[in-house]
Amino acid sequence: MNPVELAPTQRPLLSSSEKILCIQNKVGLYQGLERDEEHDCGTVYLTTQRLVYVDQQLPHERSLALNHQAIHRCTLHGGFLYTSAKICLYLKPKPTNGSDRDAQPAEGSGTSGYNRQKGAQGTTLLETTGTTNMYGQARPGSSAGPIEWKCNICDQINRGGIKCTLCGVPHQGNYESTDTCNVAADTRPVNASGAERQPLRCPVCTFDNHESMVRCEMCDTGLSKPDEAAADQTNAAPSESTEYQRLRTQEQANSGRDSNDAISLIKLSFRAGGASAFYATLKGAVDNSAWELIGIDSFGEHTVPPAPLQGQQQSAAVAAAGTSAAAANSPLLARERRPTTGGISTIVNTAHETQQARDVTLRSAFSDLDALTAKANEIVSMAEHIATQLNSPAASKLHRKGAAESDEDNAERVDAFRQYLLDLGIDSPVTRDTAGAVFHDELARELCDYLENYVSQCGGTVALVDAYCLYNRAREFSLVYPSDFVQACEKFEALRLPLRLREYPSGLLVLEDASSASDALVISRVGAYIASFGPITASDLAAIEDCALTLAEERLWLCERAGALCRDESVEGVRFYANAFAAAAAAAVGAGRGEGDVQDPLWQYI
Amino acid sequence: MSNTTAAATPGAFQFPEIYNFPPFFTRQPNESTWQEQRRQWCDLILAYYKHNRLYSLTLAEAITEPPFTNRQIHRSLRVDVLRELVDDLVKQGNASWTGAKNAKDSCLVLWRKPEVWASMIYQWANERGLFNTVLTVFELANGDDAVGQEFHNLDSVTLRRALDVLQSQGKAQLFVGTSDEDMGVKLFV
Repeated sequence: MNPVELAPTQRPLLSSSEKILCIQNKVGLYQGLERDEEHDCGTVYLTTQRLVYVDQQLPHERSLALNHQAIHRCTLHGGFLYTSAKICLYLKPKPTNGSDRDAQPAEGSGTSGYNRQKGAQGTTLLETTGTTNMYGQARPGSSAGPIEWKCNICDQINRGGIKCTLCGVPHQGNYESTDTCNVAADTRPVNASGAERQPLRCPVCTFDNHESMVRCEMCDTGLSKPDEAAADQTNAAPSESTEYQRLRTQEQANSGRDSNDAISLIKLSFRAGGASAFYATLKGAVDNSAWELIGIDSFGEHTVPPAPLQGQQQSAAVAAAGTSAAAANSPLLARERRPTTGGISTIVNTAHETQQARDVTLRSAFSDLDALTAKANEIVSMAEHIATQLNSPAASKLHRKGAAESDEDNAERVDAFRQYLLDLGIDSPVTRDTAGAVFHDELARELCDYLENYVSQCGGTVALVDAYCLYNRAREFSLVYPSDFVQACEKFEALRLPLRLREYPSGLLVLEDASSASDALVISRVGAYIASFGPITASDLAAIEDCALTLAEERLWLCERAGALCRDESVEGVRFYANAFAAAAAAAVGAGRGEGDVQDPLWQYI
Repeated sequence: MSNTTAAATPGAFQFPEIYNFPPFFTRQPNESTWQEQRRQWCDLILAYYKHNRLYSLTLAEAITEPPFTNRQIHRSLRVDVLRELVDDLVKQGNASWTGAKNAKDSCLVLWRKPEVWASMIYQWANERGLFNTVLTVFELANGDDAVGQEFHNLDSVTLRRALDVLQSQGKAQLFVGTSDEDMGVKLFV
């Protein structure tokens, strides 16, 4: 599995044609038959191309992805009593053996001991320790097997793993580096590094510890290890779990030399349910990707449509737009022709063919709604292409104010189109079907992704109603309920996302950029407006700042609460002035206000 | 301005600058702003009443007149706000409600506290040697002897209050005359 790149909102970054199919939280990974401690609890996103695991604790370091093409088959095992439901993914064996042998065991952060293949596809296969039998004796053809350890509690000799198989007590702190283990180690053939096992001598008490110890057994001082072949000694943190990790990484190194036809195994353990739905979707996605695999291999190019095409695979792999046979054939012919003819004629021909294909797509797409949904991808890509053309300098000139009459019309159209494109923003919206239990969390993340730019463009604050309308428009078909929207917004803080939901005392809800929106800024701005324009009303402020009227009112009330403004209510409406009372109060305090003029000083008479 | 001039100072009352500030006539929601606003209003009311030697205030009528209306900027104070201000004055000791209980429609503006009036009267009586003589209340305030004094033509209710203070201090004794109007008073040393 590869480490995967995440968006700031901790969702995986999708490629352009990738869609999220299913989301499930509280999933743990198993490597082979053993639990993978580092990837124990997280959220799994199933997309059309990959399976992405996002760790809950350290999302940016410990997240992994696995391509569907690496999965050979998958099976579902239902949960029983204490064991949770599991999906087993059998991975395809690696195509080449030689490169693996040279592969270094993984570096420190995150992917503990997962081997990396330096192959073209970049997929990596996990390998398990299932190549040794129960007593740690190596199978023929492979070198040393998993580490044997004796459980402190029940004296059971365990083969690898974290927990003792008999009593279930975890391995850390349990490790006995006594003679039994040394004996077991000694009976094994030479280890992967090829060196004899040397006992580690403690510098303080000169006791000979087992070489894999971190701290001396007698006097508990830290031991510095001699330089070993295994490169992942570098992730030795001064804790007991390092010991275990080191053992495991040695295991990995050992198992890296395994025979080629061992099929690797990854398991997903669903601790919060949702396994059967996930499994069904996963099967569908893996099957679909199998078609794509054929498409990729024959032409070396990435294909778009996920639906399987009978007998049209090759041409579909080539055609950029239409899926109809007629359109497919001519590009195919064109490409065959291309190697022989070059120059301007080819370019002209290509442009011509693209244009034709586009026409066909448009005609067929708008014929009915079903065709439109199927063609949605292509339409979106076309729109994006037009958008980039519009964003060019030529178009931006049209947009500048003070242009001629016709230019202004064009500018309006450009603006409208740009606005429309903003609406086409979301490709794979989060729905209850895909997300299930984590619906609100995922919705919150998607919201953040989509609205962040818009909010900062609007000066850091957007009314919730506006954001809701915008978001729903972008989602096209699967709209969200207002209550779901608000619940998702309330989770922003908990998920540490950059937006915040804020309620003003008047009850107005807004979305704010947590970092840039600040009350002091608003107050100083409004003060400046009043200084230059005189007393202002809410509608004046809305016009100046180009924001919603409710928001302008809120801002004025905010300044009033802070004592920067005072209001004047009359039949004309409410107008705000700079606070002269505060100035007067300050002056009075400064001048040392004495007794009022009204009262006679009594001391004269009494 | 000197405190010993007896007659009401002629000439128009000088309104403070804040009087022409429209928000002055709106009850400010911000607490600290309102404190300041209230203070300025109380000062204004007392100064205006003192200048014009007015003693009583009926809320409903006063709203339409200065100082609670500023015709230049077309703003007026609201009745409930005025009521709040008078409550403040009462707390301060510079006003008291008259009329029906809890109706809060009219009040007495004591721009000079009764105690102060009392001392003034006592001082004057001392100077004129009027101790141990019985005077009518009317004569006290409006008689020839009182011409030139600040309490000349003092409002009767206020005068009564001042004399009550003296009585409680043990410096005077009030007698009921033939009617309420016709009270007598005797001052002691």
